[in-house]
Amino acid sequence: MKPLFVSQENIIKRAYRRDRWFKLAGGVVIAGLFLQLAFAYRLIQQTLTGSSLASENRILSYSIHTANAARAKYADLEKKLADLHSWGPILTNRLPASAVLAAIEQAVPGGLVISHLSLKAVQQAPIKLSTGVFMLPRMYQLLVGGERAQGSDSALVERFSRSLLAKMPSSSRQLSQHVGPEETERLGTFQLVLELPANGNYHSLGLSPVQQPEENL
Amino acid sequence: MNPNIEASLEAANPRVAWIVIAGVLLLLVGEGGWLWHQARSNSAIDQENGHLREALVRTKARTDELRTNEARIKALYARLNDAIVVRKGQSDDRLPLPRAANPKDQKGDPPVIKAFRESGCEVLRGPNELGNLSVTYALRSSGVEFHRLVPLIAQQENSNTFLVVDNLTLGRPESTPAFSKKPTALNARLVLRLLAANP
Repeated sequence: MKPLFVSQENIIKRAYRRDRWFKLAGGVVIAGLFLQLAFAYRLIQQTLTGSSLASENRILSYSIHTANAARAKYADLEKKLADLHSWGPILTNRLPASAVLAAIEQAVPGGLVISHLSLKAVQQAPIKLSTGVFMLPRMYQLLVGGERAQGSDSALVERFSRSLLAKMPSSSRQLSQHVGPEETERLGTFQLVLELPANGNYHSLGLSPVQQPEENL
Repeated sequence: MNPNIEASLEAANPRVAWIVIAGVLLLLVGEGGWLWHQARSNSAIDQENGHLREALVRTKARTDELRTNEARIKALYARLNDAIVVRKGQSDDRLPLPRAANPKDQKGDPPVIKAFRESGCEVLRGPNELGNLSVTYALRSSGVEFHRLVPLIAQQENSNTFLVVDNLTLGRPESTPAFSKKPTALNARLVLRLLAANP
């Protein structure tokens, strides 16, 4: 049926008011308008934050530049400090041979005499330095050989070995022990082989540990 | 249904409603994306500022540390650097000079080796190795007693903090009997290494 007394324009306006899709569209538009307020608020907030962060970034960049310029004045000193740090392992782990010899002298009992002695680096580790490497001994082998006094206690060598080990760096161990028989014309012989780690722990040798450069700088 | 309404529904195009809804939603999504992008950009700047702040603190602390310890570092470096042997006439990129290659040349000997030489040791310098920052010296003596040798080594170890003993062999001469009370000069062989630097 065709309406006779209502204009087409009014019919369309009415349709816009009553149709559910147009109602939904209207609702979406109204919600969108409200969301525009929230959007504007967030946008202003984000813009202000961004501007503040950018300004802080500029200040920090300038400060970093200034700080780097101040640090650059100490480039030579930094190189020296880096060298000191790289020398640290050599200073701390170096095994002082003189202290080992002195400890052997103190440990040897009256009934034994040393005829030959050798201290040999059997394991080395590279220490990286700025211009190359330095091979630092990490393990030594100590060989002590000699004679026993006639009629001396057969356990003397064992006691000497124990006393020697007590004076050597920590974690030292005996690799072998040989005690030769005593003969009528010849003195009995002995030979000890010890393994000494060069680990910087030389309290038993009577030495205090060397302070690493980074500990006091 | 009311005929008027029916007629009006026929007259209005519902696609207009859809286009409006889609347009509004598109606008909202676009705005949301813009906000998200802005937030991400702010977060990135904030993170960068955090890193810059940390770097600034570290740099300032390092500079202060260097400034405070300048005298100590210089003094310690000077003390330790004195112990380093400068390899004369031989750098990594040059062939050794004939004089520098002479292992018995005494002129370039460091003080530690001079001290051993003065104590009656024969000294032979080992060849330099590329990349290895060591100078090796083989020492031999048959005239030093144990009680002179130990303090000598101790003194040199104390004077040069980079002196490393690679091999030390001490032997009583065959002619000296065991348990002899007489002072005995030992047959001593030492292989020493010192930290070296190229000129």
